[in-house]
Amino acid sequence: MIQVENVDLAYPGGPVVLRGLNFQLAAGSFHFLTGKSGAGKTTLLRALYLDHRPERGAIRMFGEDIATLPHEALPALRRRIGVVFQDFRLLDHLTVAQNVGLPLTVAGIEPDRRDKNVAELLDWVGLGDKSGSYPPRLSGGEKQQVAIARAVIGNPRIVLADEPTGNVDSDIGGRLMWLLAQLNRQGTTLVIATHDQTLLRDYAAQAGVLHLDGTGGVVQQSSAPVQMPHTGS
Amino acid sequence: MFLRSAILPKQMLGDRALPLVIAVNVFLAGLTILVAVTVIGMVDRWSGDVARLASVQLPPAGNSLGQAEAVLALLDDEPDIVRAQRLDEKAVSELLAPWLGRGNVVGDLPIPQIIDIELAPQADVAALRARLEAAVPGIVVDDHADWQAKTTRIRLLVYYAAGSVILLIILAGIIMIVFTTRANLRDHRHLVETMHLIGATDAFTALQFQKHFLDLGIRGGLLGAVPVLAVTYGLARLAEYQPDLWLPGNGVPLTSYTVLILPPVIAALLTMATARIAVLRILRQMN
Ligand SMILES: Nc1ncnc2c1ncn2[C@@H]1O[C@H](COP(=O)(O)OP(=O)(O)O)[C@@H](O)[C@H]1O
Ligand SMILES: [Mg+2]
Repeated sequence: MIQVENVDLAYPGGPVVLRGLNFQLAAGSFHFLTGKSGAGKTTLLRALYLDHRPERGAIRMFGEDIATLPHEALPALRRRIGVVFQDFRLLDHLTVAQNVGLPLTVAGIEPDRRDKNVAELLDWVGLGDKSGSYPPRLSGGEKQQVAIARAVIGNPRIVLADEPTGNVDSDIGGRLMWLLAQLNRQGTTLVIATHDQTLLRDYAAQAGVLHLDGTGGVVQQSSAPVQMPHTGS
Repeated sequence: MFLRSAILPKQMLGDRALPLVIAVNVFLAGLTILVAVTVIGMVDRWSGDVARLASVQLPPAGNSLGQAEAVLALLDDEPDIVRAQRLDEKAVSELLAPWLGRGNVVGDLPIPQIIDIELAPQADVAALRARLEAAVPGIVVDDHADWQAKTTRIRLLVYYAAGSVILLIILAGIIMIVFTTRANLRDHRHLVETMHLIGATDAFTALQFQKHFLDLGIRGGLLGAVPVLAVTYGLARLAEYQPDLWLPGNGVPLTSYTVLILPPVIAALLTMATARIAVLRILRQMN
């Protein structure tokens, strides 16, 4: 599903942040991306959600080398990847429902179908009563729930979450993790960046670990067995 | 307002200022066009009239009524001449008055005989002149060719002057539009980036801003067009009472002023295009 070969990642004009990355994530797998702050977790996720390209190497997803795809080919691919951004990236002038529906709006889905999906998802994440609120009025946990709902509304095959429990109390964090793990049980490939040791322990049976050692970034990988997707609720 | 994007904020930078600036530019461009069309229209009509008039001057040496009658008969036979009329002595003195003064014409000063002629629309003046010169030595055919050359120069002058003014207005407009659009997009970089990251195509994102700025452009265009129309209408009404002034309607048909539609349309399209280019440029820098 995701194949990373000899990849170097850097920011424009800056030093190489991650060097010589090699790993593969099977379809339907669940991995935590770990490493201390500044190790390059966000940098790696950004490359996986096509925000920037590797300096060197190949990243294969959906059978394409995304390192060499033309600019015009990327939007369609991005719609197949759901992202929970570290800073949420909610639009303050849109309601919760409009924020969650945005990926469908930009994909040109008819408003009726979109609004129905949005309502279902907001119930699923537990924000059914907040659909008309604006993000500045939400708590950190609620924003994160909106971000998760928006990440999954397009039925992505891959979901990438950047420290989704970073800014919330542990009971809310537990609820958010349960939502994400549920996606994986339904067959979505899941990568969650975190430095939360409790999470690692709680999900040790289901999730593998990709570890960035912070020195230029050799990835140590451990894998958990890929779960057989359940269907139905 | 009907063009507003559902994704962009309801209030954006320049929502008020941009339509106002566009309106002022459209108004100035409209006035410039109004003046230019009026002047060119009047000059055209005038030179059209003058072009059909010419005069024939008989040499003073052969100054006799008899000769004038002979020439008149000759002119009547010319197919290129619609009408020929000899000016009597009083009329000629009137014509010469600016040079000689009234009542100063001494009786024995040789006064030329002048015959006004009206040419047929497709008259060949050169051939006519050759025929008349052959028949009456010393005859002078004055067809106001100098005047024609002069009016052509006036037309060009008006075209260039109006064109330069309008170019300057458009330039100032573009600078303002670009400035506002860029500032606006800097304000909304987060929005543009977010749309980009969740899979919006560049065209989709650009379209949202295009709609917004087309809306502003249309509003500014209309706001500027209304006073231009009011001025045009007012001048056309004035023309009814002042038929001698160079005014719309006095010989310049009001249909010539349909070109006044252009400034608001151009302003609206220019605003939209500027926004599109600015958004696409930002998006191109992203992966
Ligand atoms: N936009 C950026 N431009 C330049 N350097 C950056 C940028 N973002 C992060 N970095 C650098 O890249 C390294 C990895 O950062 P990051 O991927 O954010 O780490 P993590 O998410 O693991 O905390 C850090 O040294 C950081 O300073
Ligand atoms: Mg990070």
